[in-house]
Amino acid sequence: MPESMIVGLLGIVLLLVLMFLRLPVAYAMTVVGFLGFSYLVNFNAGMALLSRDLYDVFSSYSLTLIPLFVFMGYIAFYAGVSSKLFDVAYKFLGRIRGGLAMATIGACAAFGAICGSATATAATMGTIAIPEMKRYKYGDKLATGCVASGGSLGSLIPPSVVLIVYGIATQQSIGELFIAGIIPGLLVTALMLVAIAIYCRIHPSEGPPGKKFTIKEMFSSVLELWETILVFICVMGGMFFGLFTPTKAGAVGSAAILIIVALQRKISWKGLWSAITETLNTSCMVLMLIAGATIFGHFLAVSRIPMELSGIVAGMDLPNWGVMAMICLIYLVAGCFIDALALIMLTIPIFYPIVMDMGYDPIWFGIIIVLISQMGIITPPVGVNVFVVSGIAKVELPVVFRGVLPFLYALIVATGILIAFPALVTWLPYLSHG
Amino acid sequence: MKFVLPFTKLLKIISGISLMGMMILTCLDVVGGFFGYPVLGAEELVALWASLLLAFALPNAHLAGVNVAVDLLYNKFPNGIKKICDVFNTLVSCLLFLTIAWRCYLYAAALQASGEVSMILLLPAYILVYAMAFAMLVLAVCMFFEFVASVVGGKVTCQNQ
Repeated sequence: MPESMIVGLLGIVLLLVLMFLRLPVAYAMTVVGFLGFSYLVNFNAGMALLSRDLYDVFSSYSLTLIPLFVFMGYIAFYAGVSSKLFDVAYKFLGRIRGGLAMATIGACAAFGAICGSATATAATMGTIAIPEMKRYKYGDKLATGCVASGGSLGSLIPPSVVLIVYGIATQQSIGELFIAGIIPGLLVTALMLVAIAIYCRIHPSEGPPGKKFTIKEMFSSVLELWETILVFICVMGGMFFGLFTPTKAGAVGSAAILIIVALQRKISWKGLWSAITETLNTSCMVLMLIAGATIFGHFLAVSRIPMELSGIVAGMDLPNWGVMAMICLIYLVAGCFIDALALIMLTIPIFYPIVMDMGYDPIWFGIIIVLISQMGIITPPVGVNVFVVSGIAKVELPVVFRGVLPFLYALIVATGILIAFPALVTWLPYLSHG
Repeated sequence: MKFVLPFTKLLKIISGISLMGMMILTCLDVVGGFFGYPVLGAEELVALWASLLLAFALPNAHLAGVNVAVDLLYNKFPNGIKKICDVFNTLVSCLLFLTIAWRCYLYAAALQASGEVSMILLLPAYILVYAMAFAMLVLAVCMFFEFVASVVGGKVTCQNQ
C-alpha cells in the first residue's frame, strides 16, 4: 500500500477520534486536513492552505445563496408564517382521524418550502402543533413522532440547505437539485400521510378526530397564505424558467417575504434582529463545515484515497446496484451518529467519484443520499430532531423514537420507490432544460 | 473575557448590516437587469461582502455554540474525562484559529505587495483579508478564554449579547 494512502487512512482515523472527543466537526476536518496535507506535500503548503481555502470559501459568490435562503426561512419563522400554515392544514384535515398529525406533516412540507433546515422545521412545528394535538387527546407517540419526522421534509423540499451543500461539493446545478427535490418531497409527504392513516386505523385512540370547519372557513384560510405561495412561486418559478440564479432567487425571496411581513406589521425590529442573528449563526456553521471539508478534501486528494477506493470497488466485480446498496447502508448507519450536513461534506470526496464511475445520475444520487441521511436525524442513538421534539414536548426519548417508526417505514418505502424509478427525480430538472 | 465581548458584538452588527446589504444589492441587480441596467460588479461586491459577513459573524457564532459536534461518546464519559476533552478541544481550537489569523495576515500582506485587485471593480481584496485576520484573532482570543475557563472550571457564553 502506498505511503500516501496509509497517511490518508490514519488521517480518517484521527478525524473520527477528534470528532468523538467532541471537537466540532468543522474544526476537526480543518486540523486533520492541515496536518495531513503538510505531511504529504510540505509544511508551508499546508499553512498556505489554511488561509487560502478559508478565504476562497468565504468569498465564493456561489455560496452566498446560503445566508440568503437561511434568512428567508428565519424571517418567515419570526413573522409567524409557520403557525398560519398549520392553521390552514388543520382546517382541512383536523376533523378526520389522525387529521391533526396529517395537518402537521402538511404544514412541515409547506414550511420546508421556505425554510431549508430540518431541525428548524421540527422546532417550529413542535411549538405550534404539539400543544394542539395534546388538547385533542392525541397520543404522545403520534404527536411527537409526526413532528420529528415531518421536520425531515425541510431538507428535501426546496430550498434545502443540505441540497445546496451537496450541489457545491459536487459542482452540480443547485437550481436543478432544488427542482429535483419537489417530486420526492411530495412523495415522502404523501407516504407519511398514508402512514398516519394506517397507524390511526390500528390505534384509533392515538389520533381522535378534531373540530369540523365549514368549506367557507377552509378556503378563506388558504387566502391568508398568499404571501407564502407568492414567494415560493417567485423563487422556484424564477429558477425553473432561468430568470435568475439561485443566489438571486434567495435574495429576491428574502426581500419579498421581508417586505410583505413588514407591511403587514407581522415582524418587529426585535424579530428581525433575531432572524439576522440566527441567519448569521447558521450560515457560519454551514460555511465552516464547507471550509473544513475543503481543506480535508485537499488532503484526501493528495493521499489518493478516493481514486484508490474507486479502483478497489471497480475490481471487486460487484454489480452496480450492490455497490450502491452498500453506499446507502453506510449513509444510513453513519447518519445515526453524525449530522447529515457534516456527513455529506465528509463522505462526498470518497463516494462521489465511485458513483460517477458507475454512471449514476449526480442529481439522483444527491436526492437519494439526502433522503437517507434524513433518516439518521430521527433514528437512535443521535436523532437530532427527536431530541429537539422531546425537549419541546417534555416527552421521554424512547416514546418519541417509537413514535417515528411509522414515518421511518414511509421514508424507507420512498427511498425504494426513488431507486426503482429514478425518473421521478430526474424528470423535472431535465424538463427545465427545455 | 469582558473586554472581548464588545468586539464580538460590534463584528456581529457589521455582519448583520452586510447581510442586509447583500440582499438589497442583489435585488437591485435583479430589478436593474430586467430593465437592461444590471448593477456593475454586483456579484463581485456580494462575494466580497459575504467574506466579511461570515468572518465577522464567526466569533459570536462560536460563542453561541452553533458548531456541529458529536456528543455520542462524550456524554458517556465520566466528568474527569469530559474535563480533559474540554481542555484539549478548547486548546486545539484556540491554536488553530491563532494560526489561521496569522496566515490570513501574511496572505493579506502578500496580496497587498502584489497589488492584486478584483476583476471588474478593481477593489483591493487584501483589505478584506486583513479584516478576516482580525476576526480570526478575536475568535482565537474568545477560545483562549474558553480554554482558561475549562482549566479552572466555568463556562464562557455570549448570553449577555
